[in-house]
Amino acid sequence: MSQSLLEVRDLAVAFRTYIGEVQAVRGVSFDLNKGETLAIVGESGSGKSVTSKSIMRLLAKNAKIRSGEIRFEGENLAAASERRMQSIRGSEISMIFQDPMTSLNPTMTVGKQIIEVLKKHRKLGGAEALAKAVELLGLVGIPSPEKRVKQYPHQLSGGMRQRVVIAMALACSPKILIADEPTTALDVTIQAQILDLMKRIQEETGTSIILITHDLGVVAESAARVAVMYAGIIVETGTVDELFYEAKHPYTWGLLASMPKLHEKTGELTAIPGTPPDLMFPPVGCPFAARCPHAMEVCVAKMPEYTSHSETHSAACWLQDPRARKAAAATGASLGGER
Amino acid sequence: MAEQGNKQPLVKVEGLKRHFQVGGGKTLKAVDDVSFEIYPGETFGLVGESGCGKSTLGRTLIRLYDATDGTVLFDGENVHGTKSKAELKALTRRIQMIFQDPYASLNQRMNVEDIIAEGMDAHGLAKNRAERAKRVVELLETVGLNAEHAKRFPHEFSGGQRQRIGIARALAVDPDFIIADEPISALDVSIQAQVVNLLQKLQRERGLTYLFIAHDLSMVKHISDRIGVMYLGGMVELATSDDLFEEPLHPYTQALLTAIPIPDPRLERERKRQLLQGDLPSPIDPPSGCRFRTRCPFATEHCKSKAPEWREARPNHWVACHLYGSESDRAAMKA
Repeated sequence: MSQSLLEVRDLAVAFRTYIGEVQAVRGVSFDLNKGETLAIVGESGSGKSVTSKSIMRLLAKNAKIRSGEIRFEGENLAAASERRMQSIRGSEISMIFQDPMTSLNPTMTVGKQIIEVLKKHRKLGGAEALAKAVELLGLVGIPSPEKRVKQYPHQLSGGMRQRVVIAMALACSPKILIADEPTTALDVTIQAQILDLMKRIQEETGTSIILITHDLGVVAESAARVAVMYAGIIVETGTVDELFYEAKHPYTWGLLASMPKLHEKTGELTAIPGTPPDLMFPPVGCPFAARCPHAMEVCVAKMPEYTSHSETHSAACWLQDPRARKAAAATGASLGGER
Repeated sequence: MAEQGNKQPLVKVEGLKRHFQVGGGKTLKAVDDVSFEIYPGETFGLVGESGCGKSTLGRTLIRLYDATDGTVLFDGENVHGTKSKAELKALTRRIQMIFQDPYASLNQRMNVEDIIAEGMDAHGLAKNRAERAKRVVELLETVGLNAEHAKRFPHEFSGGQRQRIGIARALAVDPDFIIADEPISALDVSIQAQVVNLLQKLQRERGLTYLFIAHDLSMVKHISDRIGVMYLGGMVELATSDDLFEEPLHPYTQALLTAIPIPDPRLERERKRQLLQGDLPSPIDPPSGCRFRTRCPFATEHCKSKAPEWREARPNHWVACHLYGSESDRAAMKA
């Protein structure tokens, strides 16, 4: 794809701990196109946040990018110097986090925090930066921004704080906005406001967004494409429609089935039995095999390769391997997923 | 499913208030004049956004908080009445609670057997150590764990497993009524379904009555027979879960329902949502009249001056909104 702004190839990240090394991300590849929203979904520990923090090079000290490349407009960020990263962070790529209170400085007015970004990256003068800060607060839908600019984070509600964080992230018109669970700490009515805001901002500025979330409802509402992560790998990727209506991976089936449907009465929920594997000792085969109702011998022994189902849709599952399909056709066995 | 009919309610809440003094002579009315009933064998869902008072309500029902005013009758007995230690103990054995955070609600220094048996010990339900151990193993198996887990410590378990331990602890004293305060919100989606299925299985097997407190409406709808919606300390709507989702009456419920993102992209693209403006007002100084009026698209002057009555607008469907009020209220809304 020629339009891609960011290309992540075979990214692997490990954390050193006192009892061993945790393989948090184990070979992740994806592209982010200009102006699109890509959602990365997965459960806690699936490696979705580590992937996004690797792009920003904001990993903890005990973490190390083991291999792979993160190419942003042709430049490999995985090998960039810290100095170079400082000029990229907040200006070319910016990030918003789950909890707005921890990403704001409680001892500084919100205006000052936005102005700081503008002075550092855009070299604006005092009066100019203040005017821009007020404009940004207005852009993210904060009423009477000229008053709010002088207030401290504790004087704002959770939704307002998240708006301030978004304003800060947008201060330098970044090319990529990484939103790590931006609405998880917020109530549904406020979540709806923030998702709406992000959509509007994308339409107005053309920023590409990487949305990290565990909520498939948020994905359906906001994203164009989705990557599903499980135990440090992307198990399936596709457009939202491909993923929601033509999913190929049993983990994706399980995720979709375990959500209660709002508009139909369901008896028992379809739970995925068991728990994700310990990434201190990642399984050699498919990481989902132990919980997968369709697991075959090969699944435990060998990691599946990606099979492609359309230009945008691929999945890492042995069920989709042509040999498995042939064998199933010969024996009349079911490969699941007939929904 | 609970048939209401002439059945006696298991829990009857009337005009319940729980106020907190927050300094500066101010009062936070966390729960303000709430009345409802919970019938034996049903699951009553309680939803609302953070700060609406749903957890305080749950805790006041079990006397973890004293009521400021109003009554809670549990099986005909006044929960907040004067009681001897023995009477209180007899009552609390029948009501148990499951908490949101499976990391904070289990004592890290106790092994699973002691955690689960603590209630049995307090109530003297096991005759000797052997019986105690046997009961714990039975409980572990009931919640999908097994005997070898008994001697382990909480940190050795995942979030979903810990929540199962919390459920086993609640079941240990053989309660009738369980208050589950956001029991699944700290868990991953695939694990949430496991825990909800377990709760439903236990209800079928043991005839338990649940108060299920949550902010995730789709899960509440799935598990509940009836649902109460709270806003700023008051209950604004109460109906069966089907009626509430098919025909929400209160403007707040309507907004809440359209705000839930649906995991279905086609539906999501088609539907129109009614976005609520603004934030939740402070419960310390709530708006006059109807508490919701500051964010309500239909609010009029009448809503400002008079608080709406709690009325049965449709059979078994209660709402506090002037749009469904008495004739004079409805007339005042049009004026």
